[in-house]
Amino acid sequence: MKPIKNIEEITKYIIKEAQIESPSEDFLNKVMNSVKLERKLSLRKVYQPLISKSAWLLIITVFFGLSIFMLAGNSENSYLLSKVNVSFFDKITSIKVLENIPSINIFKNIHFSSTFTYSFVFFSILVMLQLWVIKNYFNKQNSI
Amino acid sequence: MNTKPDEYYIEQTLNGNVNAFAFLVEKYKHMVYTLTIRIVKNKEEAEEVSQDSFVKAFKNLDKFKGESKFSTWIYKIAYYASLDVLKKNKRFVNSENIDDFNEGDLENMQDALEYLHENERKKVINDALLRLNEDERIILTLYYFEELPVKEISKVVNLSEDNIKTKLFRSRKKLTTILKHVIEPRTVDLR
Repeated sequence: MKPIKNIEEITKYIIKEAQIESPSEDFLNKVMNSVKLERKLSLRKVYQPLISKSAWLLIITVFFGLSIFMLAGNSENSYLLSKVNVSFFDKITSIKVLENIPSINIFKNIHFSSTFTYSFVFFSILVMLQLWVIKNYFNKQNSI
Repeated sequence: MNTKPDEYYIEQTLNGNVNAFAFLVEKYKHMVYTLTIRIVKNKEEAEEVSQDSFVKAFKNLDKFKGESKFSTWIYKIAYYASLDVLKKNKRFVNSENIDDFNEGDLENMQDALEYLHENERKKVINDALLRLNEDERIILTLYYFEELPVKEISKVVNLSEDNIKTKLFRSRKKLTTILKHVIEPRTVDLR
């Protein structure tokens, strides 16, 4: 071998002499077994949402239906309310037994200050933001 | 063995032919294992990390956009996986700060190295390599053994090209100095 003249050449010579390392004989088999297992798992793993689309549609319809009904019911000259026959409820309340049952309104004594309401809303927004950040973080981690 | 480009095997794998991935494992297993063992310094751990790196590459193959070479991508996965093992075990090496090499020693060093038996030479060099920082070892191996361009190395270790050049310059000096101290003990100045 011809004499080495500079540090660049000697480093190249040294690293080449260090040679490459070899993993065990069954390295390929082990990797392929894991890979095939991964493949099987990924085929089986079909994500299904907990609540199906039709269920969501039903929930939304019921929710909005109730909201509209309740909002409309608040107004005395509501068209909707006038259509509903509430005399049935009058009959129920006129029953003597029922009159003896004291009306229970568990929310009567609970009042939220506006400070609490604002801080609660703000806190909820931050939680949502955090969820979004964490989700992005994990997506990034998985995509090296 | 196989003359087809990596992209062919990647596409085959993505199309459901899992066995095509074996060609990629076979092609890169030596380099991936060399890189990991030079970081984690333990055969069993290096083997495990290398396997995990290939499995991770397989799982994320659809995210590989081909912006860099497949080799660069798999080396990067292996590099970070190895660093994670070090982090977990808190085993980072404080490399030595040696800067007293002069170019006149080059021929003596080459003679001394060639005088050693092949296995002994390999051991001496590998021991010297292990006294460098993790990134220096990887940069030297990729640059001088795998002959990757600085641009590709910068993608593997996530450092700028200028930073890689500086590290190459320093680690060359360090490695040769360490080797000089190991193989020519009589010439070492014991101040």
